[in-house]
Amino acid sequence: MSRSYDYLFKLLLIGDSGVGKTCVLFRFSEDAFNATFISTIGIDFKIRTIEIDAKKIKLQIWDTAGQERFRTITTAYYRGAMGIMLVYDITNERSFQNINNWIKNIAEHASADVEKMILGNKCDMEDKRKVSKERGENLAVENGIKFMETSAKQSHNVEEAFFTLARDIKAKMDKKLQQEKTPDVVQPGKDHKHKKSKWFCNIL
Amino acid sequence: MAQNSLSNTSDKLPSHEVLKDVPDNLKELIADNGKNLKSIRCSTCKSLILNKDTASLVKRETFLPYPQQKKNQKAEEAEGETVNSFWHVQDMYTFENVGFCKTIGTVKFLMCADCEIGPVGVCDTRGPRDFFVSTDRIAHEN
Repeated sequence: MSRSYDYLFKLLLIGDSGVGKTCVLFRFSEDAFNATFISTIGIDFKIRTIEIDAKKIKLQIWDTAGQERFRTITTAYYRGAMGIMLVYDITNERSFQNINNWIKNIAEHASADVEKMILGNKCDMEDKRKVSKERGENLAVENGIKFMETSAKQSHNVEEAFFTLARDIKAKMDKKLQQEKTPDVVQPGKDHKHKKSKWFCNIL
Repeated sequence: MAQNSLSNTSDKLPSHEVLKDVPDNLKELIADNGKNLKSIRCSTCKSLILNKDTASLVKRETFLPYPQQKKNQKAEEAEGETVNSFWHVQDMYTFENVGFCKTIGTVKFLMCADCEIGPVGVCDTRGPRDFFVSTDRIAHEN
């Protein structure tokens, strides 16, 4: 049977508990009188299909609900992960400071070339903000990671964040494939082209 | 009819077979090759679950909990119904958009990836290559 997609990326959401990580992926709508079966049992992962540059990409997205302490997350959890969303809550200073611990944990346990992105969530709660956007941006720059503020509640930037992460993984993969195909040592023209397309991605 | 059969799961993996006596309401939804003629979408939010021509109609006796439960109902004691006809796929990545809930017993139920209504289907961890979407709990529309 022929495959109906071009790429398959496994993504993880990590960050302290209570940062709304779960909402980035899951909605858990629950009213006061009824409970849904799904909210009772909890969600394991989701499959989503997106299209980038006319290529069909399957995303398998996992949440870390229930194992938020970074010490408990080790190699097994990261296995096969190609992208990681690091999520903090802009109304919670501690969750922001812990991003550094998460980054260390990833460096220790995840594959070295895993693509990362930092999300400052709950930007719909401006009145309770404790972490300025600038600090988020600076942390991202220090670590060479992309950054976005999101509001899972208002669905603001959430889809864009997943697209950006997927686009970066795809670019990295394409580059790798290209290098495998062309073992020549020096190819100035090609390198130049790659840099350009990456810059283009950054703007998007 | 409401019943409860999540807590007394059988030891055997339920079998499935090609649905031969296709009910009238499904006849117009099957192509000559036995696959779905129309896309399969969430009946609530219309999120695309499966593209057309990707799933086969099968018979499989399966207990599915109702989407809405009483408050504080334990998952194992969820009320539901037994349904028989499913769209069957053999690769998880055939799905366009779908969610998997945590495992109960040996079973993982499927949900809409967008509005999270469900279960819309099921897979059994003992038969990890088979995924079933209930014909009763989704919308057939392109």
